[in-house]
Amino acid sequence: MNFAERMQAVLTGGEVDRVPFMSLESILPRGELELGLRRRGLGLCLSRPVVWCEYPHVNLDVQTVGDIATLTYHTPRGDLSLRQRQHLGRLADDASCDLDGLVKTPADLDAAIAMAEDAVFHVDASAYSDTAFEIGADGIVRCDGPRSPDELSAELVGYRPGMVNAHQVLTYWHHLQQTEPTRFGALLEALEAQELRRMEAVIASPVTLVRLGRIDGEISPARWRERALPFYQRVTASLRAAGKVCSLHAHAPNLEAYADAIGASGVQMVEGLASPPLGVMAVGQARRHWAEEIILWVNVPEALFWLGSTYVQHQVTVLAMTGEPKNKLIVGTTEQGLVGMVDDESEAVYRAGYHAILDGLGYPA
Amino acid sequence: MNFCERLSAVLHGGEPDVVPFAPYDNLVPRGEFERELADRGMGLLDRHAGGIWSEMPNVEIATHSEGNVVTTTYHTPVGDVYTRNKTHLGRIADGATVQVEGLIKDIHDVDPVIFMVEDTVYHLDPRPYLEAVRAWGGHGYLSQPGFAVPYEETLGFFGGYAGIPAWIYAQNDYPDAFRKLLEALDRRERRRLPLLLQLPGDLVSCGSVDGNYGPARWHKYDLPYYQEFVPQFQAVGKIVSIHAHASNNLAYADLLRETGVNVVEAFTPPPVGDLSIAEARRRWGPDVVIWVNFPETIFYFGYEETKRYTMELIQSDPPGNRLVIGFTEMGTYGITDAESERIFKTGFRAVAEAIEACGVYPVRA
Repeated sequence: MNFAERMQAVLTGGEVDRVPFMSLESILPRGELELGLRRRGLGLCLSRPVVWCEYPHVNLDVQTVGDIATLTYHTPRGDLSLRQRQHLGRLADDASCDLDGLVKTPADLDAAIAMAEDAVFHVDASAYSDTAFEIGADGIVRCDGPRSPDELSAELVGYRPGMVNAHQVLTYWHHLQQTEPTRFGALLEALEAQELRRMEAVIASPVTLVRLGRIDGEISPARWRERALPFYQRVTASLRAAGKVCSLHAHAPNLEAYADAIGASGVQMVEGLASPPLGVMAVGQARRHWAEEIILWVNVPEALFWLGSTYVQHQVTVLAMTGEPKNKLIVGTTEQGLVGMVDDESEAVYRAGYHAILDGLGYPA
Repeated sequence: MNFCERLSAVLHGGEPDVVPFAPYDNLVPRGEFERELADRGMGLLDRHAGGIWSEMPNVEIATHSEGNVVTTTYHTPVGDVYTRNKTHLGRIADGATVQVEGLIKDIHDVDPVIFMVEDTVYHLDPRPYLEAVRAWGGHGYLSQPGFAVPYEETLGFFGGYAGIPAWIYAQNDYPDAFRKLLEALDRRERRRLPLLLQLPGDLVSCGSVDGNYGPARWHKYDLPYYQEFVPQFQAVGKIVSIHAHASNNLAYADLLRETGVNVVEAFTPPPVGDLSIAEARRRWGPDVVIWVNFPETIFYFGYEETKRYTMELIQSDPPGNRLVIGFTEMGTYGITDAESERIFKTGFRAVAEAIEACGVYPVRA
C-alpha cells in the first residue's frame, strides 16, 4: 500500500497494512531528509484554501517601519489595527508574529462586528485540486473550516497558541466579556454567522477533510463545553451530511479534561494528540474515551528524539499497539517538525528520530 | 555524488559524475512524481528570496479588495501611485496573482515611484537562507538574487510584460523623467551592493535577457552593469548567472560573452530558441555553464523523440562538465488535463532516461 491508499482506508474504514505516518507539510520543508522519509512511506498533510474571503466594505492600510508592519482595517464602524513583526528568521509559514490583536479597547468591538458581518466567502478549489494532483500518493490535502466564535474572539484580542503573554491577553478577553456583555455577545453572534457562511462555502467545495478549530488548553473545559461544543455539534452535523470528514486540532497537554466534550462534538478525527510524557492522556485512554470510529492522529513530540532512536522506536511501537484499531490511527508530527533542527547535532538527532518512527511502525528500511 | 555535489562540481569548474538534472523547485512541486524523478537523480534549484529584506519607511501602503481585484496604493510625500492585481486565478507559477495595472500610468506617477526607490532601505538577514540550505541537504541547490539591472527593472513599474507599450511610450514621451528613474534605480543598486557581497552562498542570479528590447539597447543599458558588477561578485567567490530565456538569444550571444557571467541559465535551445548549445559553446568558450531550459514542446513528439532530442543536446556539449539540464519556465505546470499529464510525465521520464543513457561524465560526442 502507498500512503494515499493507507489514508483512504483510514478515512473510509478499510484495512491498512501499516499505521500511516503523516506530518504537516508546513513543518517539514522540502529537502533530503523529508524526501528520504517519503521514500520510506511518510505522507504529508497539506492545507490549502478552498474558499477565499472578501470584505467588500473594508479597506486595508499597511504601514511598515523597520521590521514592524501596522495593518489598519477601515470598516464602516471604525478602524482596527494590528501590528506584526516581520523578518524574524525561522518561523513557520508566514514568518511574522502578531504583536497585538485587532480588538484593543471596547470601542473596537463595533468595528470587529462590522468586519465579521462584511465577510463574503467565495469557493475557489483550484489550489486544492492542483496540490492534490501534484502530491499524488505522497500526501492528502485538506482545508481549514469553520472555527468556534469563542476561539475567534480570543484571537481578535490577540491570543495565539504558544504566545508569551497569553495570560495577559486572555485576562483582557475575560474582562471585555464582563464589562461589555451585550456588544461582546453581538460579536460572537456575528462571528458565528460568518463561520456558518464559511461552512456553506466549504460544503460547496470538493474537499473531503476539513480541519475545524483548536483545543489549546487555554480556554477551560467547562467554557469549551458551554460555548464551543454546541457550535461544533452544529457544523459537524452539516459537514458530515455533505460527506466531509471533520477534525479538531487537539494539542492541549491537558486534553483529558476535554475528552467527553470532544467525544460529543461529532468530529471524526482528533489530531495533534500529545501522549505522555508531554500530554497527560495516553493514546489508550483516548481510545477508551472515544468511539473506535474516531481517527486518532497522534503527535510524536520531537523532544523524545533526544532520548535516542531506540526509545522513540519503542514508544511508537507501544503507541501503535495501544491506539488500535490501526485503521483508525495515524502517527505523525504536528507541532515542531524541522523547525527544531538548527545545527549539525540536532539534524542528526532529528534524522534518527524520524526514521525511528518509521522503524517503530514497521516500515521497510 | 549526490545532486548537490554534482551541481556544485559543474558550477565550480570540477567534474561531475553525470550531467545534473536540475529543474526549478516550483516547476516540479513536491509529490509522488517529483519523488520518482528524484530517485533517478533529479535535484532542484531553489531560487531563494535571499538574505536581504527591504522597507520603505516613509511610504504608506493601502490595500483595497473588490471581488478578486486588489488595489494597492502607495502614499508617498510626493503623491500616490497604485497597482491593480487580479487574484484567485487558479494555477499560476510564482504567485497566484496577475498585475493588470502597474505603478506608472503617466508622467505624474514617476516622481512618487522615484521617491519609493530612494526611500528603500535594505537589511541583511541570512538566517532564512542558511536554514533552507540545511533543509535541502543533498536534494537541492540554492541561488539568491544578485544585482538588478536598472533599465530592465523599470519595466516592472509599468506592469511587467503587460506594460511594455506604456514603458516604450514613456521613454519617448517623457525621457527626462524616465532618466531620473533610471538614476534613482542605479543609486538603489549601489546601496544594496555591499550587502549583496556579504551574503553567504555562492550562486547569484543577476538580471535577464528577455528579448523585450533589442541587442542595441541591451548593449547600451544593461551590459555596463554586468561589466562593472560581475567582477566584484566573482572577487568574493560568487558564481554569477543570468536568466537568458529569450527565444532569440542568438542576437545577444556575443553580448552575453561580454558580460563575464559564469552561468547562462534558462537557455532554451532550438526548436524553441534560435541558439544551439554547440554555437553558444563556440562563442562563449569552455568555462561558461550552460543551464538548459528544456523546451516542453518536445514532449508532444513522444517518448522516443524526447529521449533522442535530449541525448543529442547532451552529446552536443562534450565532455559535459559545464552543462545542466533544467526546466526553468513551465515544468509540470504544463499539465492541465489527463492528456497533458500523460505527455509531460512521459517526457520527463524520457529526459531522465536520456541523461542516464549518455550523461555520464565524460560525455562522448
